[in-house]
Amino acid sequence: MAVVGILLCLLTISFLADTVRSEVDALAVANSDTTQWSLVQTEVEVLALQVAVQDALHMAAAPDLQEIRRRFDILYSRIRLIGESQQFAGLRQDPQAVATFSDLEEFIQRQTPVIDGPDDQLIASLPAMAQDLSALRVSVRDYSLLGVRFYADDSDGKREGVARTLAQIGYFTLALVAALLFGIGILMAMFRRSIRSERLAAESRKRLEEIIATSLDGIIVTDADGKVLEYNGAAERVFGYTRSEAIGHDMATLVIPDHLRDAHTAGMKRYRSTGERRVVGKGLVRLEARRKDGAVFPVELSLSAATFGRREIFVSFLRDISERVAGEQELILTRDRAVAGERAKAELLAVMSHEMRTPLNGILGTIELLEMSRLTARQERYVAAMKTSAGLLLHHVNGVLGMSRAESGQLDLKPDAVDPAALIQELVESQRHAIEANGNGIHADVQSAPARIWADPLRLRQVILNLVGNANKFTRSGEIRVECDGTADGQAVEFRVIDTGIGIREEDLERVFEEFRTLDTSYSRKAEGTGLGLAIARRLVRAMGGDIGVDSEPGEGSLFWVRLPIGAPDTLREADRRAALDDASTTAASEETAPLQILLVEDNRINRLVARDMLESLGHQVFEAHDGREGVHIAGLQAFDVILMDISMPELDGVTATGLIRASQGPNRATPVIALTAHALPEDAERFHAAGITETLTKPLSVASLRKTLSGVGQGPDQDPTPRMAGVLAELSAQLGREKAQDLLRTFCREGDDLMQRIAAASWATETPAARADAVHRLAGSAAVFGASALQSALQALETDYRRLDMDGAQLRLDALVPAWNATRQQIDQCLGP
Amino acid sequence: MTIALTRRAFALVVGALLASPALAQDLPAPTGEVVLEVTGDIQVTNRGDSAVFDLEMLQALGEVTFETSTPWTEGKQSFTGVEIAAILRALGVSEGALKATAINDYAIEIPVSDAVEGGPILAYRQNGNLMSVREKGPLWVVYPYDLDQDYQSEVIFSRSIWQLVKIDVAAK
Repeated sequence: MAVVGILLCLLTISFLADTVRSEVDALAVANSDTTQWSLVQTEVEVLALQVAVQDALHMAAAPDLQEIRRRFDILYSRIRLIGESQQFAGLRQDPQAVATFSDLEEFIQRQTPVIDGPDDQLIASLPAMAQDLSALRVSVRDYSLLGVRFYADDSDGKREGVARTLAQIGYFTLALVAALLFGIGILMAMFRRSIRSERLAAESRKRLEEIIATSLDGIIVTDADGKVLEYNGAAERVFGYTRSEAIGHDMATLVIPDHLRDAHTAGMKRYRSTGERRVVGKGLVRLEARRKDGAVFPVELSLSAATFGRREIFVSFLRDISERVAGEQELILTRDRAVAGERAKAELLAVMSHEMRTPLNGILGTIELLEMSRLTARQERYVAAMKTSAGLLLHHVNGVLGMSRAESGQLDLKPDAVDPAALIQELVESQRHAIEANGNGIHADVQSAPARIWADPLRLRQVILNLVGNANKFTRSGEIRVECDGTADGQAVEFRVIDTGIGIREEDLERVFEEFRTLDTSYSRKAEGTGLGLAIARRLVRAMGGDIGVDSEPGEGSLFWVRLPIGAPDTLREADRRAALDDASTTAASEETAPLQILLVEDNRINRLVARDMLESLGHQVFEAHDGREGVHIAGLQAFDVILMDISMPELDGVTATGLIRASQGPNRATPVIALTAHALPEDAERFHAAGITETLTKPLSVASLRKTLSGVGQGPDQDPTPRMAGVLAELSAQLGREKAQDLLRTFCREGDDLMQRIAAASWATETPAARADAVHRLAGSAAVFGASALQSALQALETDYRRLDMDGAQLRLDALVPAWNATRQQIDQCLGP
Repeated sequence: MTIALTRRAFALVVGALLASPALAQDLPAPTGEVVLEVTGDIQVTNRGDSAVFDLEMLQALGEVTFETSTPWTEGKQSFTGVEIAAILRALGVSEGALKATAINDYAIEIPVSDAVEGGPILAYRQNGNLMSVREKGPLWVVYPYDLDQDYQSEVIFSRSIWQLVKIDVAAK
């Protein structure tokens, strides 16, 4: 704006200056002074003519006519000048001057003929001319005065014009000066501002330089071609190049490792041609860089691009993260070790459970068998003591396993209708003996307990039993009360176990629920245990949606409470339960009449003994295999109703053996397989199921669990497509008559016995394979007639071996043939009756 | 060096040759009415110490015609006359001042430096006619006013003397 004002002022001034110059020029060109001189000179010329005429009149003898004529001519030219000259153009416009000037012109017109006439006439006219001249003199004088006045006015006007223009120039000059001053002011302000901003810029530049220099990250600034423009101290430390070594050099060759250089070049090329950014402005990128000594190390890179005018630069922030990467790797390693440790712990638990439960299986099973035999009173006491100890050991093992199961979050709760009062009464009565042994009394207060709640009765019992057991442990000659009542809102039930024992210090109240916690040495001395009981109790209670807590006064006693939601009946579960009950009753009814043929695959002799006795006590027929391989072999010879399969066996374990049986075309490919295992870990169930195992029984075995499981799966006869012997006999009786049919069966029996004797004899081995195959083939045909399919397939396999001359295979089959025949023989005996 | 000297010598010779005709040429006596008398520091005379000219003699010095307007006339006027420079050359005047006097004793000083080729003339014809005394004749110093702004100054106008009869040359 100031600039526009100044330009306007300059334009106006130059225009006015031009005007002034032209006016001054005008003054220089036309000066009214000479004009006035001309007017006065006219007067002078009139006078000169007058003098010449007077002289001529005085000298009448020789008048100087030439002088008169000359003076007249001069006057003539003067008057013409006034009439023509531009100098008098202005004056000629004046009306008064016009009138006066006409006097002058009239004089000239009047006298010119006289002057130009002959001398004598001129002489004669001189007196008149003299008179005329006197009048003319007055007119010329008037005209001259008019001119003076006119030109004075005129020059006044001109002067005023010039003065006005000069004044205007003055004003505009003033305005110009003001504008210039204003401009200077603005320039000064701008100058000052630019100085200030320059100073600020310098400061911030210095600050920035300081920041770059002290930055812990390496900073490398490059141009678009990768030439290093800036390189800070941290970069010197990180990369090993000094600043002077780096500046002006190609960054790629300095710090980019060989294996990344192609990618870098391609990336730069792509960026230059398409502007596509992959790394630029993408935040932190983890890459590798190279040191001066050639070592490659991990860096974190943040790359940004900035444009100065047309120049583009790249700013890279580089951080050496070798240590961090090393730390991360160490962390990963540590985590892997910890995970491996966890796994080892889990494996240890699995192994321990197996290793401990297998002998326990033996001990408890044997004790159970021992109890059934005839014992003296003393022996009975010893057996009871053994049973208690073994039971306690089993309790501890189960505690550890329960912990590992609870830890993996796979508590399997089975809610059912529970009568809390009955549960507590029963529990109290069962524990009364142990409690009174400690000199304590026990009392149940269940009058206001709700009639029915929905909970897992076994788990609930486990929890309350644990609390009662603890109370008994820490109380001597005191009182234990078990209470139960519903909460005011009717939504929950609270169980309380109150003792008058040693109590728990306040700071220990929460710790008692932690794993492997026994509070102090004195407790440990008084009360043995894994310290897991309360921890498991808390997990169980919380899994059931309740909570557990304790109040205590050291020396006075403790109060443990368990609060559970009353819950609601799960209709589906209820239906299942009823169905299961019905099933149980029907199988229980049928089990006595339907003894099963069971193959027991178990490598441990004692376990085999125990299991066999238990199964036989239930009326089943047991066939034994001593390891997995033998189990698969026997399963290929004869059909069984159920196979009991130990999981943990050397060489071929139970899972693999089951898989082989299921994959074969043998008679037991569809037979239910019940796994016997000390592996109680939940994840095993999946694995077992995948291998084709139908049910799992956890060792140690008990008669009750065996009976229950077998009643569930022992539907063998119905599932087996092979017609059973009794059915065949019934059919044959219908066709041939009973006597004839029984005769046939006896013949078959005799044939079998004969062949068995023949095989058992030493001469069997000397017979030709073909003869042996024929003999076996005959019995196989008979077996097929009577539906002894297991025997038939065993014989057919044996025949095949003989015909192939596979004597080793045949020997194995011979060993299995005896039990197969015995089983068939037994069936025959049953069919024939006594 | 020799060539430069030769050139200078040649220039001097040529200059002398060019100057000599004026000096050598004698001014003839006027045959008609004398219209101009030149006195003072002049190299050539034809009547006593003066040089007198009739119209014919002036014409013989080289007639020049140009058109110009003047402050004293209306419209463009054609003036014919002889350049003052030509007269001064004829009289061997090259410096000083000319005191010009009119019939009515009006007098003015004209510096010799004004007398240049294409400069002021002594006009004797206006628009083709000889000028009488009544028409500012017989001789009128006329500058080519329209040719040059410098000729439109008051000083030049005052030097434009009419009814000229006499010139007195004063060397410095």
